[in-house]
Order: sequence, then structure tokens, then C-alpha cells
Amino acid sequence: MSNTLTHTRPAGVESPGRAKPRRRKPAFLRLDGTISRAQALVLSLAGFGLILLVWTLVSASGILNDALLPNPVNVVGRIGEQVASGEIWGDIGISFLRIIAAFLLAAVVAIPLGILMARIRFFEALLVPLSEFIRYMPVVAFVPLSIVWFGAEESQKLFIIWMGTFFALVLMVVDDVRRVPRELVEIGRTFGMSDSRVLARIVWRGALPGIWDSLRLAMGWCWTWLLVSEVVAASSGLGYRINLAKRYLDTELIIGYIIVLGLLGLIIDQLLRLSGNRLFKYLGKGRS
Amino acid sequence: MSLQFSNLGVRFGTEKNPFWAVRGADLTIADNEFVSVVGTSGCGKSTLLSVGAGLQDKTEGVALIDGVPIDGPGRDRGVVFQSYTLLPWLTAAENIEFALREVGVARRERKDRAAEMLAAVGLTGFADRYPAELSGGMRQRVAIARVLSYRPTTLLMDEPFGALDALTRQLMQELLVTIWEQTPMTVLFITHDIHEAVFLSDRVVVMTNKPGRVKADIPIALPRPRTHEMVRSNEFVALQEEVLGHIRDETLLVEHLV
Repeated sequence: MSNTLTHTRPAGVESPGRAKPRRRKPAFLRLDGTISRAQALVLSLAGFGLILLVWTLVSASGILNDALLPNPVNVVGRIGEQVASGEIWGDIGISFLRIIAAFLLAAVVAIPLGILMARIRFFEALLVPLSEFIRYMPVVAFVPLSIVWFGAEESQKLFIIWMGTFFALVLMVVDDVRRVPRELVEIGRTFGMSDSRVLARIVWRGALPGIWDSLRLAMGWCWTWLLVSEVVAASSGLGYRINLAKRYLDTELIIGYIIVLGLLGLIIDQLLRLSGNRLFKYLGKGRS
Repeated sequence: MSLQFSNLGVRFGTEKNPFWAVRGADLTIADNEFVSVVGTSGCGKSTLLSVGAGLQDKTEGVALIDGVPIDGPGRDRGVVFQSYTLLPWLTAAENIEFALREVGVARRERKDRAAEMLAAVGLTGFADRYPAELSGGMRQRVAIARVLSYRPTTLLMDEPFGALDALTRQLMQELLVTIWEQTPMTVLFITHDIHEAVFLSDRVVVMTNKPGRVKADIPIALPRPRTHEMVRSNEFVALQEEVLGHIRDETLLVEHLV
């Protein structure tokens, strides 16, 4: 038959659904894709390397005065001097003590109060609006007041760090505690447990993984408010040293200490994260 | 124990904008009777169970356990929910021991009883697993083992198999019916699965929507012990159709299909 239907296509038209084989994007660029451990490590190091490179180039170019932006090598050298003289250990020690004290003081009050505010309407009505209100007051505005009240004493630092952490922390604890399923509370009540026993044995324990994560965040804020309080009024600590260095235009030390602060924060955060993973292993893969 | 609701009403919402989850509901469950309540979602069947458990206060009417007004939860009434039934930080065995401790069982006895109950639901090898390491069906088996471990006289189950896949659900129904036939208790079983209700129960009660009240009460005269083969019998199918008929009208109304 001469009149056969031949399936020829006009040139340049692809059959539908069979697009030109396209190279797929690597998995680590895809939406919700995956990445290998090695790739992740290389990329995260590259991020640090990039910043270091830009810093080195800018300081080598001479655009900025060495006193404004010292080069990385000198900064490391300056920190080395601080380590050699031992001064840095004293600075870290006192700052660390302040942080731990204020952090514990915030946590010890915020956790029980947050549990009550989350699950007992009386405390919710009494304290949640108040905490929301105080949380929106800029803590920096309390700094002059804190000096009037406490002078440059340790209590002034504790007050500022506590103010900066407590009110936000307590509201986060409230959220964590609310996330404990109502069914678990009701099951406890069917065992004949009293309200306070349910709170202590079920609600608190059930909220602990969430509270742990909130504490990690709060620890980060503590560093911020520690530095604020030490820069403003202190005669010791990392913030004090930074403030002192400003007077001598010792930018090497300022930048060095800022990096040390970052490292300390990172170390503490990772310690909390790893211990959390260990403590809450029972939650399985759902927890990161 | 017998469980009795008469003219029961539970109101949610505000005074101005009230919402009656249950109103004018009458239901009596005799001692050692297995009664299922079916109905469209939001018909107040879970609210009914909560009142029975003493977890929800009634607004009006009467709720009695063995003729005594229900005033809060008690160890005589065990509850199983659809989900979040186990404490995630405790292993299967510890979950049972936790309950036993709270209801006042002596320390020495707790371990033995937990092991015994886990064996009864076929989970001996899983005593040291955390809930996250168990399948949905296993979790519900632990929850059932836990509630049975302290020997309540009434069992209140709120869609306990609702989150399970079809096959697991069927196996769980067989497990439950076997346990109940060996050691009868008063059971109030909430479900929206008609097949499940007919298979398990002595009576199936259909609830209407908004406000929830009892619309039909269908005795299930199938012989016991119930077996999986029964579900193909004409009797079973007819009963299922009968229940479905009542629910169908209700669903059409709720979904605005008529």
C-alpha cells in the first residue's frame, strides 16, 4: 500500500514525555536532596575558608589600615600571646562562671514556672501575658538601670543575663510543655495519679527533650548578654578585655577574642546537642 | 461493672455560643458486656467515653459506674487511646511497670506481671524496646497489656486500632476478642469501623451527630467465640448492612449530600 500512515514527525518536535535526556543535578543541589558526610565536611570547611580568604585578601590589599583590620596571622599570634601569658584563661574562667550562674538561675526558675503556665490555666492567665510583655522590653534599656541598682558588681551581670534569657526561655518552655500530648496526661490520670504527680512524672519528663533544645538556644543568648554586661561595666572577663583593648586600638585582640567567643559558644552548643542525642536516644531517628 | 448514661449532655464553647457534643444520650452497658459505639466523626462518641473515664465533666444528666455517680478517673476503669498511648522514654516493660507502680502494685510483683502481660499479647521478645522502636500494632498491644495488667473491671477504648493498617487491625481485633472471651469485662469500644464493631461486640450503638445521642441499638447475636471465618456468613453481612444503613443516613446529612 502506497498510502500507509507513517509516523513521521516534523523535524525538531520531540515526542511528548520523552524529553532530551538531561543531566540530573547532583543530589546535594536537589530540593530535599541528600549529601554524603565527606561532601558536607568539604563544603562546611569551604565556607570557613572563603571568609578567611576574603579577610586575608582585604587586609593584604591595604585598603584598610592594619589597625582597623589586622591580618589573620597577626590575630592568631595575638591570641597565642594571651594563651602564653595565661591571661585568656582568667578571662574565660570568670565569664564562664557568670554564664553558668545566670543560665542555671534562669533555667531553674523558668522550667517549673513554664510547666505550670503551660498546663494550669490559673498560672497561664496570671503569667503568660506578663512574660510576653516583659520579653518585648529591650533588655539593653535595663543596663543603665542595672548599674544604678547593683553598681558594677557580679549581681549586675547576673541580672542582665537573667533578664535577657529568662522571659524568652519561660515562654519557650511553655510551648515545649504544651506539646506533651493530652493523651499521656489522661492516661496518667486513669492510673489514679494526682495532678502534681502527672506534672512531675509525665509532663515534665515528656517535655524534657524539647526543653533541652530550648536551653541550648538560651545558652546562646547568655553569651550575648554576658558580653553586653561585661563591656558596659566590669573589671574582668572576656567583654572587659575587649573593651580594654579598644582603648589601645588593639584590634588584633578584639577580633581574636570575638573568634574565641564564637568557638566557645560552638563547643558548648555541640556538647549540649550531643548529650541531648544521647539522653533522648529513645526518640529514635525522629530527633536530629 | 455496669456503665450507665442517661440524658447525658456535654457542652463545649461559650455560654453565648454553646456547642453540645453530646445531648440527651442514653446508654446502659451491663456487667461484662462488650458494646461498641459507632458514628460519623464529630458525633460525640469520644466525648461519651471521656465522661465514662471521668476525664470529662458532664454538663447535665447522669453518668454512673455500678450505680455510683462517676467523679473523676479511677483504677476500676482502664483506657486505651488511638495514639500517644505509651510514655516514649520508657521501654515496653517499663511502661507496664509504671502503671503498676502508680496503681499501687508491690515492686516485686511488677516485673513478673509485666512479663506475663507482654507474653499474653505476644511481645515477650520486645520487653526492652522503646515505643519508637515498635510498630504501631505492637504499641497498641503494649497499651492493651498495660491496661489489662492492673485488672480494671471496665475497659474504655477510643478507636484503639484506628491508626493501624488493615491487616494489623484485623489481627488486633482477633487478639482483643480472644482476650475478652477468656476474661470478660465491661467494654465500651469507640470506632467508626462498622466491620470491627460487629465483629467484636454484643451490641452496636449508633450515635447521631450534633448533638450526639443514641440513634439505634443493634444486638449482635453472633455466636462466640468469634472467629475470622464468621465475617463471611450471611448473618454477619446482614448485621453490618443494618448498622451501615443507620450510619449512612447520618453521613448523608452531615456531608450535606441530601
